[in-house]
Amino acid sequence: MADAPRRGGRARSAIFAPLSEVGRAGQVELRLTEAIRSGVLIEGERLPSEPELAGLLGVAVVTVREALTGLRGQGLVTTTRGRGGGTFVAAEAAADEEALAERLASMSRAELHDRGTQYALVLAGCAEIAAERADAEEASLLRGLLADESDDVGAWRHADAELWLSIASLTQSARVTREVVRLEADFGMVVRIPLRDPEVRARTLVGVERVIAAIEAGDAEGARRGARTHLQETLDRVARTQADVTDRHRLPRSAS
Amino acid sequence: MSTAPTTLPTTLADSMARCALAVTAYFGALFGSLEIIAERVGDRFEPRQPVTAAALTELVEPLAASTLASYPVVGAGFVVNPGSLADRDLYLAWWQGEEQQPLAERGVPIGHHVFDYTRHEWFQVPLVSGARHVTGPYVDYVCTDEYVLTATVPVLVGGHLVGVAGADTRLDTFERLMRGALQGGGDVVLVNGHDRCVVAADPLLRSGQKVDPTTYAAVRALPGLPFRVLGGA
Repeated sequence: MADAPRRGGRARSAIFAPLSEVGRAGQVELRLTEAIRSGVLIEGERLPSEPELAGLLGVAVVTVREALTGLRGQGLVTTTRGRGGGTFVAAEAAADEEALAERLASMSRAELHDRGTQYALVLAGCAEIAAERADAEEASLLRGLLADESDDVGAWRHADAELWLSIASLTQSARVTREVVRLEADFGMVVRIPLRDPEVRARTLVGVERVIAAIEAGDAEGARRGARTHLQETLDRVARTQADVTDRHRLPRSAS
Repeated sequence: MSTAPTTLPTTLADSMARCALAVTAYFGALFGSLEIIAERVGDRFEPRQPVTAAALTELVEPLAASTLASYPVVGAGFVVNPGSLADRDLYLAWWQGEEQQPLAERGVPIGHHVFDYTRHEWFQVPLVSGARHVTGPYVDYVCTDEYVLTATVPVLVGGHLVGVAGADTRLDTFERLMRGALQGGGDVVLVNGHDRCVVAADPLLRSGQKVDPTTYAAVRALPGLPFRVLGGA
């Protein structure tokens, strides 16, 4: 297998789609942060120029500039001036577990459950329809996307995202696939935090292999149930991780 | 006057022929454009000198632009077979969309995330068969995020595949092109090599849906294309 930079394909379009609430540097910063953390934007990649970003996101150049200052402060991007210069995704930006934990801690439990429900609903639906529509040959290609023991956590996270995108594409619906691309850019990095634990990776493999087997067998109900069970276990792990992280990050109360 | 050597109603036979002609005409012309890309790329690899990604991009860009301008396609270009370029393993010299944005940016260090396209049908089939192919309809979640038909032509240099020239046609577009040919002439379906519906006269037959060819009265193969026209369920 040969390697090439994955440019994230159209996941990137989701990142650069216009924001609903225009004019907020924080939103721009958050969206780009998630894109970098989740690996949609990759190490060493050049971001569009400030005016281009402003155009893509539908915000003012000054807002983009403010957001990029924030990203530089987080160490996620570096900016070089002059010929061949620009803003680049910093090395090791995606692998920062501490930053992932902070992102998780910044979410309320309600938000986590809200997003988790949407994520599980859409992906379980994809698995169900994929099982109805895919033939055995297409389904068996999914097995080629699985990571193995020797892979690092980054490769596991990437492989898992790729797997669910492939399952979404087997629904033969471009809109459903784009919706999954958007969910992955938005929430995928949070869902995949627990994959840093090798035991979780082993369980994940069991869970997704069950889904793939059901898709191969054309068992729509089994695929839906398998996906639902696997995703619920994953979301439960994320919720427990969030509780741990929130405990650790809780500020000491002032004596009164 | 009915001396036709068939028991099919004339209208159905006519509709199937009209459908076959429309498909062959569209892909025949598109493949003609891709053969130009293939020929020029083949020539460039011929002198056995190392070809860089930058040189390839420079060569392919105007050719892909011409294909994009001349046909209702959403993407076009050339995709390399690993081991063919001097400085990259996998590489897509590919342009898409209204702005004809390049898919692979140049001059960017290779990241740790990888995307291997060589397992995809649009690459695999021409690689193995050495012949042109149309893949789909399928959701191309890697590049366009659209439901597309991808036409690919292998580029062989000294019997070795250096890559494929290709173009994506949105199924929306293809359906519109085929609408006239499918109107008012009985139950006609265009199926791909996996017996999946590409376009059909029957409004309830979804593109991508599996079809059982044995339930149709007539089958017409399309020479040089992985498609068949079925008629008269």
